[in-house]
Amino acid sequence: MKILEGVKVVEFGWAIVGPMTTQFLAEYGAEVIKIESSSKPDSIRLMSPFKDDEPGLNRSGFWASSNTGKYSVSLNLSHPKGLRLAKRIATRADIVVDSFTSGVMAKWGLAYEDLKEVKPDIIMLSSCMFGQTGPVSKMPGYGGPLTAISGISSITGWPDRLPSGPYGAYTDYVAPRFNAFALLAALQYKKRTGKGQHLDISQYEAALHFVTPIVLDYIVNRRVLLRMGNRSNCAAPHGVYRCQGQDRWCAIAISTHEEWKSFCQVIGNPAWTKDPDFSTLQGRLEAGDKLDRLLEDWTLLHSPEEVMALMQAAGVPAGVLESGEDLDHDPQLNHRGHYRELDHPEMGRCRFRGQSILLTRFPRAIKRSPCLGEHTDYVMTRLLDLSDEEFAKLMSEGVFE
Amino acid sequence: MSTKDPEGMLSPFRVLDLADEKGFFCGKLLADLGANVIKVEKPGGDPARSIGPFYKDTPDPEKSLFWFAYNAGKRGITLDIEAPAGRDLFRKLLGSADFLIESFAPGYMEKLGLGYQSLSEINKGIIMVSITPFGQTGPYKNYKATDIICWALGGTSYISGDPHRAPVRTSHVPQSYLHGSSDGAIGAMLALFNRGLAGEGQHVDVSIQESMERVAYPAHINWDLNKRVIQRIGSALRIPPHGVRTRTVYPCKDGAINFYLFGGKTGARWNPALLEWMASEGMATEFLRDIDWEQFDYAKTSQEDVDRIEGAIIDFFMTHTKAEISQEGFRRRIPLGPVATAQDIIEDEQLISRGYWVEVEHPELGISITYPGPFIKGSEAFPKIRRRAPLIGEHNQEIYEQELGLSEDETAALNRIGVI
Repeated sequence: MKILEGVKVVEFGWAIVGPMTTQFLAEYGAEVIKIESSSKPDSIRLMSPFKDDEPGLNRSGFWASSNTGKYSVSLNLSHPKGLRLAKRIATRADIVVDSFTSGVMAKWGLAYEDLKEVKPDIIMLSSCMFGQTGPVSKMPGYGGPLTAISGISSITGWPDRLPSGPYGAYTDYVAPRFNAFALLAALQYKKRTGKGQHLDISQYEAALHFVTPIVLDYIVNRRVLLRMGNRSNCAAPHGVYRCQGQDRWCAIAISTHEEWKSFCQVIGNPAWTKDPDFSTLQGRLEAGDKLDRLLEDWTLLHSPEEVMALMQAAGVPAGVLESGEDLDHDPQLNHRGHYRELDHPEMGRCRFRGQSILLTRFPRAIKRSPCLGEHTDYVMTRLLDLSDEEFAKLMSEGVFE
Repeated sequence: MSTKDPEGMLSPFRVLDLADEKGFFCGKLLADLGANVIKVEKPGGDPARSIGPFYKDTPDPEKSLFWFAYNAGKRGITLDIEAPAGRDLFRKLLGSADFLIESFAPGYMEKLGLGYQSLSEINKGIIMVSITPFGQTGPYKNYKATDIICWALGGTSYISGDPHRAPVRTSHVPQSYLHGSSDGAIGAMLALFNRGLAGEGQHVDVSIQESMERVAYPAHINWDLNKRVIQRIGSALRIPPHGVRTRTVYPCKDGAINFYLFGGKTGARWNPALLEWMASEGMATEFLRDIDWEQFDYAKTSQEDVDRIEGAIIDFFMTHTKAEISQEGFRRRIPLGPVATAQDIIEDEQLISRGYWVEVEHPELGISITYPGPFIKGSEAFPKIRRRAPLIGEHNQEIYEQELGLSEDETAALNRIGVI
């Protein structure tokens, strides 16, 4: 028995946000059917890295990472019969998720109004860049520009340089969390009131909740806060320090007097730590680069693992900057079963990741990602009750391409 | 999208929020959907009220904009759960609660006799949501961490930042806490869905490190699939096999623009619009005009040529402002975006046209403040901010006396001994 056992979800998604949204539901036991097309595959299936650097529709790590635990159906939505089947699958579901640009689902006759006519209590979530309305609602886009548009880039990086992060299409990893939360709340609401609904998520509007303090600051103080490297206004030292080894680093963050004292002790109370300028947080904040350089003289003599262990043993917040390799070996992540090694029919042995949420009554159940169209037959003949003859006939007509 | 339930999707549910800044956003999300969220602070106020920036730059526990941002929609009480009388009171409050959110070091609640097991004996339906840097189990569970440490151990910092400087995190707003808190809200909903079936709550254990790993996963998949370690490259992509660097952020007249020049089919679809615009202002270089975008492939292009292409685009963008580039760029359907500041966001037409911003009254400051609007719009039960963040102990009387039924004398006595 899984938490979301019996909840039926259909995803008309591509790229990252739609797929990662339903992935939450799949991991906790919902039946998630992903509608794909082998003639027009999801662009992420074509994106590197591929397992063993060998390109293939079923070998993309990005795709695999956001689609675990789903059923993949290949359906030709340019074929009228394909569209009819899509509508049948959709109206059999409790939840339909689409992440296409506003208007695409309507063109297919799969808009909320169309589905609601057949299934009045359906919950539909449409997730796009800017929302379903407004002057730029139909603007195509992706998480890269959106990370800039939503203000995250302006506060990431060094004050004297162009913004330099965070890595990747950051807002793509923000929006799915809001989406999954809203969908589960909508399921709860439906249970209570019998009502479904249409949820319109603007990935932009959701992402702004990750920068609210700087927005409020502009509103009330008319100040534009910008990136400040690794500095903090309420902790010092606070930063990322070079350690022994090739491009190895450890983060250290000291907020309290007690942590400062412990820190000094760990590094052997060198003379510079007695500098009265460093005895208060204010003094340490003002010392800036000078303090960082002194600290780095010490961290450079140690591996980041040593720095972390020594600091943590003394109650000082510190952490290794983990690379992909470090994550793979991380004792904490592995202890909690964050990764699960599974066989994939084309990728072979791979480690698939779970969510951050552990539940006492349900063990983790991480599954692998499906191959394109792997479950077309199963979904059509078992879940939709097409006869084998019907299925074969539709297949020959190109409905499942 | 017309009829709205004024109550909200989660209005029947009551939440006790003991979390510090790591978990504020979880309760905020539940409150946005109508849950009755009570922020429980230490007597004297939560230490996170000292996190800036502050209203009018006045450091004051009632003027923290960080506090305003992530505690809006909650009511607030003060309570010392370390004092025996405080614990008793807490157990009473727990009787009518559906959720308890906390972010103490693992084991702290057990030590007070307030662990999940004990609490579930008082209220078997209680859902306890713990949001901590590393979760409740494992070798790092007692490690101390703030945002920058969660970025580090979650793998996100290592791949963020300019190559010749230290890796970075996002400034000002602790992103890792927000990721972890959002996952906490999802966990709360999962447990609630299950409670419907069994009537029993459970303990939801969120690891912020794991939440951040899901942001840094490109680093892990590169290792897992091909034993390749990816490193920070600033606002750019590195294209295999020769490692050509292609930028994602361009300078412009008054700031920067996020734009990526694609090759192949995507480039063929999107690039002509930019080239046409550049040509109309006499700035499309011959070199650019001669490129067949459908055939263009970074993997087969030298860094020198990439620099020539990007140089021409930089020259063009430098003649325009962020606002001009995004306005005209959108009109021409070029997928780019300004590197927006808070000011640009406030002034953005798309948000204004969708009626995004909401005004929240702050009577004691004598003003209303504009806040980001709902994170989602629904045809039923919109999320909304129902009240500004609570003042210290603002609802003590309302909750202790009117809702819990203590007498005025009893609350006065608890007040005297410093429990509330």
